[in-house]
Amino acid sequence: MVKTFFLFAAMALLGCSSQEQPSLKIVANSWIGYSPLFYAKANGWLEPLNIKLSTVVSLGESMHIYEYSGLDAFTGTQYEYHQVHQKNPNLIPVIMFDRSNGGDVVMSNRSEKSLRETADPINVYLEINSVNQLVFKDFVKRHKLQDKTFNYINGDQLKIVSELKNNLDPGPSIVVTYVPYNHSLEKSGFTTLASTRDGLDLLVLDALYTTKDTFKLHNEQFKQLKSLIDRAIYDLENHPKQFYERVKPYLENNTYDEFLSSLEDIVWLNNELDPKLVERLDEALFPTRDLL
Amino acid sequence: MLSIHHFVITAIVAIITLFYSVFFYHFLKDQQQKTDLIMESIRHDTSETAYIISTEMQGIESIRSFKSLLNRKVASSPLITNMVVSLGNKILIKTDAAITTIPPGKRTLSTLNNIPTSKLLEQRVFESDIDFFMQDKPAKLRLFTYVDHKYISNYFSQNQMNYLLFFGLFPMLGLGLLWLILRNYITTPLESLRLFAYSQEKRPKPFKLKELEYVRSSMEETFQRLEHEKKELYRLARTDSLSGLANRSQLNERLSWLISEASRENSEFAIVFIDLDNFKVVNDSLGHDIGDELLKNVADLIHHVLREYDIIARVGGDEFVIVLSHYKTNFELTHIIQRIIDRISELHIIESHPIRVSASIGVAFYPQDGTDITGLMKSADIAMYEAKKLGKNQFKFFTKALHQQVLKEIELEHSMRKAIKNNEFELFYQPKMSTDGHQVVGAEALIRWIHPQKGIIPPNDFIPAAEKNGLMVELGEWILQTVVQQQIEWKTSGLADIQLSVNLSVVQFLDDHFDDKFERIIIQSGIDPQKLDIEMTESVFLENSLKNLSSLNNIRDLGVSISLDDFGTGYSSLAYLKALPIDTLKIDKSFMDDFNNETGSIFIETIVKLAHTLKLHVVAEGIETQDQINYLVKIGCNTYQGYYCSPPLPVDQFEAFLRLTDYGCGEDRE
Repeated sequence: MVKTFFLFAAMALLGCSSQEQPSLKIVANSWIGYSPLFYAKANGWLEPLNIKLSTVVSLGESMHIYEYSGLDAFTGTQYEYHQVHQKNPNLIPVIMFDRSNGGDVVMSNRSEKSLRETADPINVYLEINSVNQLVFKDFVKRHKLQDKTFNYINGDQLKIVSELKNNLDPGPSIVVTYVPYNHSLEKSGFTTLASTRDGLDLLVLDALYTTKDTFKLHNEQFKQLKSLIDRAIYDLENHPKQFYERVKPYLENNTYDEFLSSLEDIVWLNNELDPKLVERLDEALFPTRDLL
Repeated sequence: MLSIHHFVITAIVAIITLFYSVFFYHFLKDQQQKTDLIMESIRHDTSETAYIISTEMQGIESIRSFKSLLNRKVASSPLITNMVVSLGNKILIKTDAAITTIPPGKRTLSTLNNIPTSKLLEQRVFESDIDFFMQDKPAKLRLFTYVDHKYISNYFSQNQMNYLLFFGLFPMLGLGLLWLILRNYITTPLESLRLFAYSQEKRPKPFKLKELEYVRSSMEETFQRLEHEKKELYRLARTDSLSGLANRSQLNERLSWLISEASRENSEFAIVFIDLDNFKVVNDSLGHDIGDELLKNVADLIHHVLREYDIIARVGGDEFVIVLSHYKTNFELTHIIQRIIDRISELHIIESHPIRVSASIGVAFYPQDGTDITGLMKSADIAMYEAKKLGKNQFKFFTKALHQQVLKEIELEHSMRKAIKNNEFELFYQPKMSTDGHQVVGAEALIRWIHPQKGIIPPNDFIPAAEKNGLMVELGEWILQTVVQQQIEWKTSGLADIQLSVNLSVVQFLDDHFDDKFERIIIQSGIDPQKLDIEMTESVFLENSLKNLSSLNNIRDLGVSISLDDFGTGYSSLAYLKALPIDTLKIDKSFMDDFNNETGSIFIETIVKLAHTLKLHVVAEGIETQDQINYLVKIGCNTYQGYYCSPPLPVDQFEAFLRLTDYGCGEDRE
């Protein structure tokens, strides 16, 4: 009788344990480099792994929501990484997406010469708390605009695009943006003055970040996610049109041509990293040890 | 009346019922509180979003700028999966590209207050209005908030699981454990105490609880004492306090049992009534103490003479009763009784007084002399008084005929022992003749007792007694030895080298050493084994057939032939002929007497044909006429023996017969 009781108790307690993988919540912003994530979500690949992907408009939001909404991982550049890492030293990059190769751009409704000559304050639209800030500083330095008066206007990319679209004469303005928002701005009369492909000597990397504890807890999910990203990039390289159709809504409904053009502005880093790049990442205090 | 076991179970069930009623009430309340909190969060996100859009939207074309707001709301709230803003049925902004149409009205809920848990769990979309102005006209957008149904379900499931685990399973296990503890430490011990008190059969093991253990050990001690006292009382009630023997009560009890058993098994037993002669004189002259000591002495010596399983009881002052059930013959029984008489009549030294007493014994048998205790005791008592009347210091059977028979058997045994010692036994030989040439082909050795006074006593008068009293083994060995020596002697002297037959009794086969003795005689004597024939009857196979068959095979292995005597008169069975190592069939005289009638001749011819078929020799016994011999020749029987040729003859006459007949007799004899 006693044995039966303890056997029943053990079975009852074992029966209470859950076998389902814990939910892995990721937040990502609309960026061509994260399109493999959107592709995976659109194809329903994430649900079996119990991975939930939330999309936001801007880089800063992604970081902010990660920090304050209890999510497990977020996407961003090395700038966002350092920002969060200062507060949480356990943060590590786990999946590398891409390197911006023209994807981050500085645009203006004036020419470079016009900007240099104007005495009016220049409106600078950007996400203050993001890599935009670095890009803009580099731009100012390289184009010797330090003496100009800048009127910083902080906003997410969608809001910036929307505002500039509605404001027919915003005055001399600079927008620090990235693919795919640059295409909308081009339609509003903005031209690219500099990008990470040329004119800017800036390394901009995009990756997925999480804490060491979360990485350990969701290790299998992260590994499978990495596989899905590789598979998505494979699909992109082999069937770009189909890929585009899937991720279009996540990339503000750019045209296919714009999509293809955007792809020219990034370099995928899902495979083995170039040693020179690793060296440069080390110098930038960007750890690569835990990368999948 | 409620048992403790049931009481504990009832109490635990009552506790469980009460506990789970409270628990269930609290659970429902908690569920609703959680539902309210979830709804408040959803309501807050929905209303805030609607308010921001309503107040900050500059025109319908600027709605897209609020997508980031929606995304932020969705990303930051685990309860919300999607948000959609529509104008009429047209989706303006959405957080999930997969959503292409607004949800139908029946799937949405615009009330966000007082939602029960069940409603929350089935509701997927909540709807809210966003008021704004298109120029100066009021208009409405619709905000759809998609809740994370899986998350909410999991949340409530997890909550339920936690409740079940911490308020359901653990308390249940705890109560189960409590029940086990109460059962093992209280109810089971109490139940075992109850059973122990009721039957005292299964003694409980020591308990863990002090008070219960006190009760158990007290009960155990009390029951042990009571048991001891009961046994002592029982013993006293059944035992004679002076001699330590069984008393009349125990005697009656054991006799009853014995009568039942004997009745069932159809067996007999003897009840022996002993009365000391002149005991009153001892008591009167030397005092009761000496008398008592003498009785103890007598009880001891009776006890020593008898075996453990015999019943001995003291039923009166100087009266003892013995019940003997395991004796083989009356002869053995009388030996036991005589031994008791002899021991009692020995000199007793009691407290330095030499005392000589004797005993008179009466013997009665179940069922001949009585079938109940009273009848048997009465018969034994009468026989005892008969013994006293006849001069004391002797025993007497209740049945006169039996008494005479026993006395005769005893006398016969004595005489036979004496006869063996005095060589009064002698072997006679009856020739076995061939029917064709009337040649002597062998002889059968037949024992005769030459009594000094009674003359020749036929074997039928003493062989059964010898088989009964055990002398047959000794006698049989003497016969075998003598025959073997005789055969060698005749052979050596040149008189005859014929085969001699010896009759073996079934009793000889019962002797464990028979095989060894037989082999030793054959080997040591140097006789040609083929000159020896063993005659035996079918009775050898009625008991211990396997052992006897083994002995017969040993005999055959030595080269000695075997004849089946008196064939057809006993329990003849063809199975015997098949199984036994037989060389010769002997047709009994009773068959030969009827040779000249149809029925008789059929039997004889059948036996002869059977023997021929089985390749056995046939010897016809009891041949007295030439007609019988002619008949034997006709049916192909080659050998006979009988008075026609010669009766059994003493050795010297048989030798003379051999010389005179020159190994022949019958029509051709001179």
